[in-house]
Amino acid sequence: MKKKKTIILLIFLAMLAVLPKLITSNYIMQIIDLSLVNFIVVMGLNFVTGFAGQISLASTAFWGIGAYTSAILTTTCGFSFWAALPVSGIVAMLGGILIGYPTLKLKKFYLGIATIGFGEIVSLIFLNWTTLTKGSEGIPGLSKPSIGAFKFTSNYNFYYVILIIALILLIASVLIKYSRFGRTLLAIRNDEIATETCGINAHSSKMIAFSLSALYAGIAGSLYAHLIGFISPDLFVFRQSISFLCMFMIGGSGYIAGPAIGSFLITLLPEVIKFLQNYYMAIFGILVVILAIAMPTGIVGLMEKHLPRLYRYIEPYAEVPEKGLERGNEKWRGK
Amino acid sequence: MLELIQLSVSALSMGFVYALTGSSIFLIFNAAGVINFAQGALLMLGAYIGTTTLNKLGLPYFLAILLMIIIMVIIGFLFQRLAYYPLRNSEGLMFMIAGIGILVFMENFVQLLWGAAPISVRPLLSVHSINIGDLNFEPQSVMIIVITVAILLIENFFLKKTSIGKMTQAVAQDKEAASLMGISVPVMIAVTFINSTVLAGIAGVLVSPKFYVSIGLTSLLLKGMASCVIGGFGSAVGPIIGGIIVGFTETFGARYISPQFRDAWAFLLMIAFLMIRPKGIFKERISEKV
Repeated sequence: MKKKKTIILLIFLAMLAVLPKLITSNYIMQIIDLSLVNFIVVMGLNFVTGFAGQISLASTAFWGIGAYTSAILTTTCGFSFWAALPVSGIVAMLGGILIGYPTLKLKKFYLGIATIGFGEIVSLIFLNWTTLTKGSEGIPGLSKPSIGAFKFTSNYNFYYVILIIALILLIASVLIKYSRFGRTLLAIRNDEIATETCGINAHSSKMIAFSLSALYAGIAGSLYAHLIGFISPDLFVFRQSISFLCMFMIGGSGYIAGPAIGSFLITLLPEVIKFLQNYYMAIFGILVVILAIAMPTGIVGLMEKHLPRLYRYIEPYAEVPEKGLERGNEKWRGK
Repeated sequence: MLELIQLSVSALSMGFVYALTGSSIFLIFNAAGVINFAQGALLMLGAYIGTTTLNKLGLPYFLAILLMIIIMVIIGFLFQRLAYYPLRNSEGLMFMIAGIGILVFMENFVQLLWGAAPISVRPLLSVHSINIGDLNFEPQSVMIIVITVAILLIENFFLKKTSIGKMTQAVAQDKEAASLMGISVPVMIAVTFINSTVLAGIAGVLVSPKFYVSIGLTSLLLKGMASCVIGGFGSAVGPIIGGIIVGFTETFGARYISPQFRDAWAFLLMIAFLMIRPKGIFKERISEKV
């Protein structure tokens, strides 16, 4: 079993490595790069919404903070991309601590609404702090990174940069999920008060999860800025946050594989149905509703229930329950 | 002083629009325990239907609104049947996603039907301004205030005095007990959704002469949410008071502090409320169980 799984994993990695060779269109390659960037943001969302069960709609704010930090550092402060990338992650994380500290005391929808408010304020700051962000004109001409003489100028080369960063962050998120801290978050999702009575500080755990999600979003923002080469405030609006949440929920909340499937599906879906011309975004909306209704636990959740064999392959450390045991909130209570 | 009064009227009129939007969000939250992200889209749809009944068909104002309300009733029913009903037993987040889907659909649907260009709507009164002494009022602001007060009174009568309204209230309070009393819970939730859709539609029509009708109207959803949070989800009066507070905050904030951050003031106030008094001015009577 384990051997088989390793082989499949290696084949999958090899497929990811040769993927750019199979794509002929530069545009499609950019969409794939974008899906990877979205994947990083949604992975971050998984910490706070998936594991800890707190609704966050501020992911765009952190994404934007990361993008702007990276853009400003490289254009006006002369930083290289490699130096700006971690800095933008850390700045976004600081933003996450600033926003998370007061709001994470709130519960459920109240937290969601508070994060919406912060997201709107951050996007207004992008628009109106013209000395720093150049306002609605945006910041053009962001350069692609290079190592020595080798420049990652095309979408094909840059794919590998994003892929490697995404894989590192993915491994980190698997390690976090199955660490003591990850289990703490899952416990908070199931019952916050019971967790606190066990002597765990739920607020600080949620804070760490929230700032981790901000870190991921900040790194993704930096990658996005240098992938597209241009950023402007109208990208970082509430609409984008809900589309991240959409990718996250469609993929499957709380699973490692969920964000990957959701972000690729929702980013690529509009391209696939583009032959419908003017109607494609309207149809896309309907498809999202249908996906939500057909799969209330997301795609991976549905797989866990109906295709446990496949589920075991795509979800690392998946525990498939033996027959007769219930999964869910009362899991492993047994008979 | 003159300026203060004129600003107050303008603030009050925007406040009432937010109050209507907030009430429509509140009704669904109260009855079904979910936030409907498509509420802004329903509002926008109401405004677009208003442009057809007013501009294209050239109907008299009240007839036009009546026709819009009838169409909104149908849309509200379809919306709850297709998007809420299948998800009534799953967690609230999934309905939020369905709402997002509907939002994306509606935004593109109206652009296909009405075109992408913003549409202007004739105001209810054709006079340019209402003058009382030295005071000039924008006629639409005054009409918004008058009509909204009337609508809210009708709404209050519906919820407090009619048996259907009372039944929807009962369902909102306790679904199990209500169904034991022989009230059909799904039907009452459908009625609440229809009620909420109609309120959103009216808000859309009322606000449309002030702005152009475009897909940008969906962003009123956020202001409606801010109204609900500030006013509190505890009572139907909450969103109305909250809406008026939001209207005043943003109008005076834009005039006296900084116009660029017009939208930020309302959200800052909302966040302040969430920090200090998270349940809003009118608290929920039954607090969440520990």
